[in-house]
Amino acid sequence: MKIDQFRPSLVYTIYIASTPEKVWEALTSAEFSRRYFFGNAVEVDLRIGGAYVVRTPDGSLHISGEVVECVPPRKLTITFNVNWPALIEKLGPTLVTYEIEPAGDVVRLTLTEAHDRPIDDDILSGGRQGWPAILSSLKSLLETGDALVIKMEPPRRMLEALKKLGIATP
Amino acid sequence: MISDWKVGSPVSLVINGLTTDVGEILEADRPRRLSYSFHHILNERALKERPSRVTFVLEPHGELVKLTLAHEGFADDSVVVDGISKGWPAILSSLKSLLETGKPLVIPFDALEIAELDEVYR
Repeated sequence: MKIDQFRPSLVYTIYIASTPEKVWEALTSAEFSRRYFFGNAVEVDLRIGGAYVVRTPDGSLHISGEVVECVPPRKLTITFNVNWPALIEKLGPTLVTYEIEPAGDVVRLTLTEAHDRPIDDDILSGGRQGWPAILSSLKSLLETGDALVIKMEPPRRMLEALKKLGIATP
Repeated sequence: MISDWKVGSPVSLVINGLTTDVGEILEADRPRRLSYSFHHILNERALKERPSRVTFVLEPHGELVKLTLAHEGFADDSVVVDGISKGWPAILSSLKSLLETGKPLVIPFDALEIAELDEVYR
C-alpha cells in the first residue's frame, strides 16, 4: 500500500479536554468505542500490519482493515473498509488517519479520510454525516462521562449511489 | 461577537478590545439559522478580499442539536481561509464544552498554527 497515492476527502478537527493517552485509548479500545461509535466495537492489533476491525453490536464484521502507521499516543493510520460485498473492488481501499496533538492543556484530534481514486460526492456523504457524530460523541464521553445518543441512518443518496455501482448494502 | 442579530444590522468580532472582523446580518431565523457577511479588516491583504459568508444551521436531532457551519465565498488565493479553517474547529469545540460541562476550553492561540493572520489575532 502506497500511502502517498491517497488524497484526503474529509478532514475533521475537534478539540477535547482530555489527554493524548485517553483519546488514544478511546480510539483503540473495544469497550470505549462501543459507547460512542453507535454501539460498534473497535478491535485493533496495535502494530504495523496488525488487524483493525469494527464489529456491530451483534458481533458481525462492519469494517475490516489493517494498521498502516502506529505511533501511540500521537498517530494511527488504518485501512478502513466497510464490509459490503464488491465495495473495495469498485471504490478501492479507504484510509483513515487519527492525529492526536496537545494544544495547551487540551487535545486536538484530527481525522482524515483518504482515497486512492476520485470518489463520488454521494458516496462520501456517508463519512461526512457519520464522522462528526462519532467524534462529537467521543468528545462528550471524555469530557462528561456520557456519550451522545445519536440515532442515524446512512444517507439515502449514498445508498442509491452504492446500488447504482452494484454494491450491496444490508 | 457584537450585534443586535437583526437582518441588515452590523456585526463585529472584537478580540481583546480590537475589532478584527466586521459584517452584516444576512439571515436571522432564531433558533434555526443565522448568516452574516464576514470581512477581516486588520490584515492588509485580507482587507482587500471580498467579504465571505458565514452560515450556522441548527437542527434538532433527537434530544440533541446538530450544528452545521458553512463559511464560503472566498477567492482562490484568500489568506483568510487558513485562519478560519483552523479557528472554527477550536471555537465550536469550546462552545460544545461550555454548553455540556459549563466550562469553555482554554486553547492557546499558538496551538492553532495559523500562518498569515498570526499577528493580527494574537
